[in-house]
Amino acid sequence: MTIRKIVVGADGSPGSIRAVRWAAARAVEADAEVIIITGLDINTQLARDLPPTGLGNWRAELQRQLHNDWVQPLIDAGVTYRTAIVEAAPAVALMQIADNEDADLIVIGAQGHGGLAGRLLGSVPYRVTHLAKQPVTVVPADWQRYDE
Amino acid sequence: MIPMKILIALDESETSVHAARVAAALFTPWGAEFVVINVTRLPKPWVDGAGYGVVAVLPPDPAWFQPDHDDEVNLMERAEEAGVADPDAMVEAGDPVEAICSAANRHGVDLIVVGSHEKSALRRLFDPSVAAGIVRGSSVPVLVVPERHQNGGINET
Repeated sequence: MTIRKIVVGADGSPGSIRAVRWAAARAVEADAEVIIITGLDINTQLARDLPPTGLGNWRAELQRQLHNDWVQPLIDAGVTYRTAIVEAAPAVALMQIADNEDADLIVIGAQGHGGLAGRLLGSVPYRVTHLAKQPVTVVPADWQRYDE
Repeated sequence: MIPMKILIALDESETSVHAARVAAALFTPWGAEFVVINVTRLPKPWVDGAGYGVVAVLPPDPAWFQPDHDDEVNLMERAEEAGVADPDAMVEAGDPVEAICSAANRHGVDLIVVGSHEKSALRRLFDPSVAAGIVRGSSVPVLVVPERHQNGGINET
């Protein structure tokens, strides 16, 4: 068992930025490929406070951030990567791509405390860590260690 | 790159042994150092009201718990079964989430490894997921190996 393909979720949150760095460090060690993905659904739009300019513009804006900013740790680490924007809830997008790509590992950022609603409905980390078919690493928003 | 120090939560369940196996396979090649921990939930003692049912439930006291030499031997056997090379072993008692997160801080680990089971929303209320608790409470990254991974998805090379 080796890590050949890592799927990492990116949405610009502090947790996801750490997650991309953690994934980059593992990819360097194992000479693995990284697929960095952003899920686009109504919650992403609300959470990211995107301007009310329509789906096409949101998509373009996310694409711009994904390509210009969020992939930076992967470029810095010199690892092979691909990007994708998936029109689905982030948890679904991550698991779908991981299955389709036959990934070996999913990496996501931790979120704030979800409270009772989060526990019942399931936050993104909860859903992915309990429903995925791949091992999942959840990286805290303030994580900093040797590999950064 | 400095090798990772990895804390593996290992109980009697096949899910946790599988999670340990995945961690060993993924990170042993990079010289990772392993610590395995088993946390026993303390029984909640109750006071019987002589025919009136249970009248009080007392909070358990971790001081009652005496780690057994056998517990440590069993833990080491499970670690070996999972292919975890030469780990430090820890047997503790109390709340699993608290014990595992605090052990991670004490030992300065870079990663916690735990297995997870999917449960219904109702069951989650009364029997919350230890994996989810660790993900929320941990200050270090957590590798969760879901139950579904056991039935496929492992790439042998």
